[in-house]
Amino acid sequence: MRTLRQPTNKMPNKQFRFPPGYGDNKIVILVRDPWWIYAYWEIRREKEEDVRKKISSDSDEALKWVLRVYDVTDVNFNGKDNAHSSFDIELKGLASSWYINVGSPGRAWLVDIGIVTKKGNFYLLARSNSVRTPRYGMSDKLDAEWAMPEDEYWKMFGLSGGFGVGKGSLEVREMFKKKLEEQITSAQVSSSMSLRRKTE
Amino acid sequence: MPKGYLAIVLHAHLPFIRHPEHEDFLEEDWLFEAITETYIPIIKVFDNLIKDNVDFRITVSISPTLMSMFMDQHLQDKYIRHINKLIELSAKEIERTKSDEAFNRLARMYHEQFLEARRIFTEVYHKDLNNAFKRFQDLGKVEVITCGATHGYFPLMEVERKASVRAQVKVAADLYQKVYGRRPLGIWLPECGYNPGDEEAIKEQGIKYFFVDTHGVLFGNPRPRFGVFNPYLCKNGTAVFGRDMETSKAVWSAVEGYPGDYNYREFYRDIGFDLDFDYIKHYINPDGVRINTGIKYYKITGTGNAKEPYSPENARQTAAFHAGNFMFNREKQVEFLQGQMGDRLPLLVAPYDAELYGHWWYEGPMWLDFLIRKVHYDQQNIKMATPGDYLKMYKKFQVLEPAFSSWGWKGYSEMWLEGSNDWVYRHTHKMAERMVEVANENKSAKGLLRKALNQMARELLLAQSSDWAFIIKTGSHVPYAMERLREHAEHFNELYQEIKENTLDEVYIKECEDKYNIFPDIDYSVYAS
Repeated sequence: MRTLRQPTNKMPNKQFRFPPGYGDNKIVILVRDPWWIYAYWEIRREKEEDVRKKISSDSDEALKWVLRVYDVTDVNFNGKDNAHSSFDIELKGLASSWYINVGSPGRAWLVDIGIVTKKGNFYLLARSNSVRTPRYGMSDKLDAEWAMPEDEYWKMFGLSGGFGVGKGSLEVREMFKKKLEEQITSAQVSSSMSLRRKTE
Repeated sequence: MPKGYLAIVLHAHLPFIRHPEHEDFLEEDWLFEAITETYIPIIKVFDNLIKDNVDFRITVSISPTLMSMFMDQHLQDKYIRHINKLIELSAKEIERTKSDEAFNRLARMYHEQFLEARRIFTEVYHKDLNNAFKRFQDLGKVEVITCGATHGYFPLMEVERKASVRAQVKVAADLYQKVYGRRPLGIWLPECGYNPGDEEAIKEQGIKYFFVDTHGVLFGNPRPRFGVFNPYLCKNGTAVFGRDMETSKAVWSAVEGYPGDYNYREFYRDIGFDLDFDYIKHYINPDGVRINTGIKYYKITGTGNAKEPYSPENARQTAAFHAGNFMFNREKQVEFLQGQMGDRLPLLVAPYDAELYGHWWYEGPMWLDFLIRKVHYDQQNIKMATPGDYLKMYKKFQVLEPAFSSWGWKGYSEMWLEGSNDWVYRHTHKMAERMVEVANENKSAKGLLRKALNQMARELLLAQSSDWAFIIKTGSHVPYAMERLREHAEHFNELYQEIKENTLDEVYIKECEDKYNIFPDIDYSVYAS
């Protein structure tokens, strides 16, 4: 970094570029919404070489890079077999990030990146943090102290969402989904003053 | 005895933009426009209400970046230069339009408004608008609350989350205390972005409440008894308030909202774009880029391009009508909730971006003035309250785990995490990781090292502003946002390297400090574990 900047240079220094990587070997996942998470990663060349050597010494052959997505809701993941379920996403090209459709709100997720071999074995390159997708929909859990009949909850739900009264639960659910799709907020104009100028 | 309470919350925020190295800087104008068109008009409304003895309670969140810009002498002086130019331009406009009464009276109106803005800014509040809000708070009219230090979007701070969120909240609360003389009661989470567990950092700073969007409460666990019409307590005792959709829609909605009324002023017909280049060139950007001056002569008129001259009288009548309509609907709402609320009265929480008022919706401050007066004089069903007031009214609240949510597009994080801007996080995360690393390695640092660590904290916080990802996504002013991210990363990483190699350069640190001088009292150890 130091070489990019001569001490006498006036700031800002136009030479600086975001590095393609930091020499890390890691994968990080983020929540986008109740159904999608985002993963980014960086794998060290030495790590990949080590894994490839291991694959060879096991008389196997690397087939493809995959993201292995685990549902680890309420489990202390042991890295092997105690996840509720898992699925693989095959990586193509030189991807260093991916949007993953996990499809289930309110669940905890963890992602391994690794190599799948001809024999069908998985060799780990890096393991992510774990995140929980947002809970979506009205909770089934009732608080005894504050409990009331089912209809009453839906009434409150509909009123809170600005849908008026007399709507059935299914209808309110649908309206809520639509509301979020169209989210009328401010965040459309919030962050800076003049953004609409060019988008009128 | 009222039947319910109305909590209007105005969230005021602009990113920290300050460029002493340039005489004119396009993006600095955001602050100046907002001062003239939003903050001063709102301050005028509050001042007049106080003068007329109209009681009111309203909540205003002022982001720490905005608070810092209010206090900054360089920006204060630049604002005075800015308003002086507008006064000059509007005087020319009075001359130019003298043969056309419809326009001439508008030119006079603007001229008077600009003179008044300058007077309020310099003479009444001595160039620092925090003085105004502090006065309103001390008089018991406004509950001023804080926001994330640089409006960083908490849900995406996944790496070193605890330290990152703690720093955003602590730096904000400390600045608030310095300026407003006490700990903030509440916090507006940037973009209303809530990630379960972030209430710990809020509680640590002595802050009592925060807000989430409607679904943050409705999807909470266990099932919320009172919808969004009463606050809940997180398990750690911090209160959470949910946004009322119906109240929001009345103002925000592009279709049903008030601001689109044909009598209201048209935002997009500004003389900065409409008049001859030679005439306007001294009042737009020096490089010839046309900008909004704030002088606009037309009303929305209709959906077509043909626009008619603005009539302040008609707009005023419309604003009064809309205020009456808003109040009537709130009365209906609380009446409807009667009998549903057990032992308590409903609270309607209505948060809006402050900059909507006056800047986008020119008549917004006037509407607010009418609304507050009508609520005070014309009815007894609703009463204004702040979240702090409401929390004092009852002893018991249901305990709830709010759901992850934001008030952004689609209700979650997609606005700040999509194809155009997702690359940002690997870099800001790395910065957070390095910040925690050097903070832990250098506890109780002194001298130059301490300065370097503190500056790193500033650069990291500034890089975390949600504004950059937002701008990149919306596609306007993108080069500026990219440059800011790039620059903060450069300063940060250079300082990191120099600390690691023990080659700190005093001149360089000073250059960084001068350029990004926000949070003078920051203490990097907030990042240490």
